Amino acid sequence: MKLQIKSLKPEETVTIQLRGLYESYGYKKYRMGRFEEYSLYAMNKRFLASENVITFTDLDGKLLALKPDVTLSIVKNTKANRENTEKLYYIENVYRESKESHTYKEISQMGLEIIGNVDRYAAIEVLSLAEHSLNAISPQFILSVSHMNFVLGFFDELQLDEEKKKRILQCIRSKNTNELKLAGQEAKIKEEQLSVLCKILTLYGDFSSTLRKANEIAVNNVMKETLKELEAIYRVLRTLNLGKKIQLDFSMINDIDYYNGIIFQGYIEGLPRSVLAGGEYSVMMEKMGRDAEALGFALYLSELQHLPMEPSIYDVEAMILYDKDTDYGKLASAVRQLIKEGNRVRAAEAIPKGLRYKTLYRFTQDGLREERKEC
Amino acid sequence: MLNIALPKGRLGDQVYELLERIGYDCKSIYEENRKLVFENIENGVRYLLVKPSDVAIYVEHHAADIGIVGKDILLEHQPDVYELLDLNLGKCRMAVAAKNNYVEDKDRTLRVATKFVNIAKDYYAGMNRDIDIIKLNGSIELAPILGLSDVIVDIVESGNTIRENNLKIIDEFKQISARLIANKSSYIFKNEMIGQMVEKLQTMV
Repeated sequence: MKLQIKSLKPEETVTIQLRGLYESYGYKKYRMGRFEEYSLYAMNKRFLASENVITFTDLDGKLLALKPDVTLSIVKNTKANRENTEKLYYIENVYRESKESHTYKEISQMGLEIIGNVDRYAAIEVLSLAEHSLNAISPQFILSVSHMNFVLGFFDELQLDEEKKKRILQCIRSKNTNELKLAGQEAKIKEEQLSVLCKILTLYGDFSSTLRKANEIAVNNVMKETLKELEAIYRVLRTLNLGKKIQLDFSMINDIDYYNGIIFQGYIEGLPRSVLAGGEYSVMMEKMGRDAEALGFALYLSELQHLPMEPSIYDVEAMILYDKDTDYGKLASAVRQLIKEGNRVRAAEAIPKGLRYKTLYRFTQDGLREERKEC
Repeated sequence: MLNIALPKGRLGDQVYELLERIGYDCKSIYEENRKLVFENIENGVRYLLVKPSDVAIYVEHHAADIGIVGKDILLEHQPDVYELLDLNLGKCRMAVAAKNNYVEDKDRTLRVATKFVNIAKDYYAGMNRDIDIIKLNGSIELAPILGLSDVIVDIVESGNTIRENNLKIIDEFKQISARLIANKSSYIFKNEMIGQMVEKLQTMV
């Protein structure tokens, strides 16, 4: 029987499409069948979207957790290293705090990771797959891209202690100029350096013009090299006819204890939050004692349920009523015939409460008889 | 079209007057009725009048693109939004107050009455002080007078209410004022419109 495509939800169609896409680029499916120990998540709390994790005690007394994240498990379990790169993708449910209801929710997530040797080609491939993934959801999307080293390169000039650095980064992240000026003055940052920080905060927009503005404030080699790297990647994406919907946003900064290189976030018009987020997290690999670099992204499928969609007016197209002395053989073939014609069919002795049908049929000895339209 | 969540009340009126002066007027807002949505198609704005404490929720959930909200509410609820501008309106301070003759006993758990549970917790956690929070929704000043709490954490504007109730301010620890916030997705898709408004507002505040 053919699957009724129209009854599939956006997140379901996207999953099917993207699985095919990721497989064709040589990514292998990663399946998470076991529970991780809570300590894995506890030690990497800040890598997670929220610190809250559901825990339980296993039969042998170990404290386990329902996964709030898949990447950490992949990193922990993979054998990949710099000589032996692995490409993986996953479709899993994770358990975390819902931003909507502030309660625990099961959230479905899809993502991919390259672990091992991450070169410029890997960055290009992952960015183009991120763009294809967003496009599969809706052509009205924007992919915000940044590179951690641009801002961190500037921080090398400032020589701040950890706490001040974190506070200033937080101001840049929330595009909060006022707070940034206050924090900068308290940290005794020089006037001209503070004005550069304020400029970084507003460095947002289409790729070429933002890159030009960024070049104007690049004061050291790290910053300049970072911009060159971004430009090189962008140029290749343009030759692939991609990158038109890429915006640079240097105020986007992920956690510096986990991420280094390129980072990005994808937005769909009409959806309140980003639906895709990723970047290079080789710092975390090092922290976990792995000799490998890593790059990947996650797609938050649960966010897609907010996509505008035509509501389905009917539960079934055909409702068939029959009585006790019906010839069930004939009834079954009548049902099958209607399904073949592309209808969703329900047959019962009485109309189920609340069922919305398009046409009501009564099954008699002479076959189907239409009783009335609409309910 | 830019959806703007305005807090109902005095602050909202002040903010609207400010926006009107820089070209985001919407005359129908002055009509005496119970409508909550007002729009002016010509200059592309739609105002939503909402409860002040709900502004951040509307913006975070994308029902409004931008909104004007007190810093107290941002500190208390930490919504996932961009904080673009300090409008320097509705200025006040977050303060700790107690009865005039109050002397703190540092060996005992401090009872704190407040509307701002998270702000109070953060403040005392920073001092390593053990506290019990008593969450109230209004008339906070009553709590120490009736012995319900030792101190209160609340916003103070002129300090008159505090004085008239025979209380004194022990510490002022945060400057509060109205902030312009934006939804993260709107900031990206309506970047030009929001950017223009911020630029014009910057010249006014």
